[in-house]
Amino acid sequence: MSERHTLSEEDANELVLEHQGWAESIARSVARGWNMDWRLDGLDGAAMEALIFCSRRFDPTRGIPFRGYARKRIHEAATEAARKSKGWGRSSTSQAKHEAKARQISSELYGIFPELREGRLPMEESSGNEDDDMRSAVRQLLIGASIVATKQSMTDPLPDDLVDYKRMVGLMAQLEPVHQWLLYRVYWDGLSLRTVASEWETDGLNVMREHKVLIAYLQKSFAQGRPSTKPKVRPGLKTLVMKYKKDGSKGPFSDVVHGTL
Amino acid sequence: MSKNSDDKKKIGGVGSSQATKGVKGAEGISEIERVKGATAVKGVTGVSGIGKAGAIGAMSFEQREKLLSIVSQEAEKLASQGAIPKGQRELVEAAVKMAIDGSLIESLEKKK
Repeated sequence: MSERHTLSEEDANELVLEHQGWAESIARSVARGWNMDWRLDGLDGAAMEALIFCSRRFDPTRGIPFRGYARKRIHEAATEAARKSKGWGRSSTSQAKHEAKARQISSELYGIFPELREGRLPMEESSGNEDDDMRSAVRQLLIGASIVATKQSMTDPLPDDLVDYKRMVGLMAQLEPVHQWLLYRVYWDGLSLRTVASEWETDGLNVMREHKVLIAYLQKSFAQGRPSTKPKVRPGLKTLVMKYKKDGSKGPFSDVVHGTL
Repeated sequence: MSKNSDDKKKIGGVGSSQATKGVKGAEGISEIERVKGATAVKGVTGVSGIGKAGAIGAMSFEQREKLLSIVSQEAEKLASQGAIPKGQRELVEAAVKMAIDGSLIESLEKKK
């Protein structure tokens, strides 16, 4: 492993002073998104601590600009502070309950799509049409949020929630085992797509593109009320197909459908 | 066992180097391809083409209203198609708006 070349304390402090306002604006954006108070809920302190931490760890010889290196970490620190604050779960009125649920879902979205923390939509390539790309990314987020919401509703389900859940699991059970595992690791185990990629020792783009295909499958299947054509596994993930075949795994959702439903 | 024989076992011996069998002659250059003329630059992509911050999918605070309105439009489409359960539409829309809004940094110049 190459040697780390961190800054001197004086230079690191200089970096903190230079980027303090920027780090505060990250804390303010998190507070704005979640309708919280960036100071009262302690987001300012968390962002500052993360900024100082990053200034001490930053290695300028790696060629990554400081903001590129620190943004995700500062955002994570601010969201973590928000989740631990009193304002997070405050929900006396029904509107506040709705808001608290939405916050919880959006917080999971940051885990699934960590590029959001860096100010980017989940988009692995550009089609050349900015509007189409934005809409496609937004649809991914909406379907992703819907899966999270359906899963979360199982803690205190209403009859409609049970129907939605059964429908969703039934559609997922139609997929190849490797695709079922991808969805399970992301939406049930809370891993990011990048983490799944590194766990599977494959390129991040393979998993991101496959996830997009699966979201499109779910979108189409939900819309037509029956399973759409099952997506094929891309060549980059074929080794996993063999692995799951060898293990005799039919996929976590198939197991649920065939075992308990 | 003597110390010397122990040492021999550890090293395991050094294999003899193989003799060089010969050096392949350089093949003659058969042809030199003509250098093709540079084609004219057809145009320069506008700023929107490369994204506001240069990275794919990069969002800027200036796009906030547009992005949030796209979320509403797409949520409505997906709910009407049945791709999102109707009872979930508002919740899911609010969650995605929160996630996007919480990712947009307002520039410091604007704040001042």
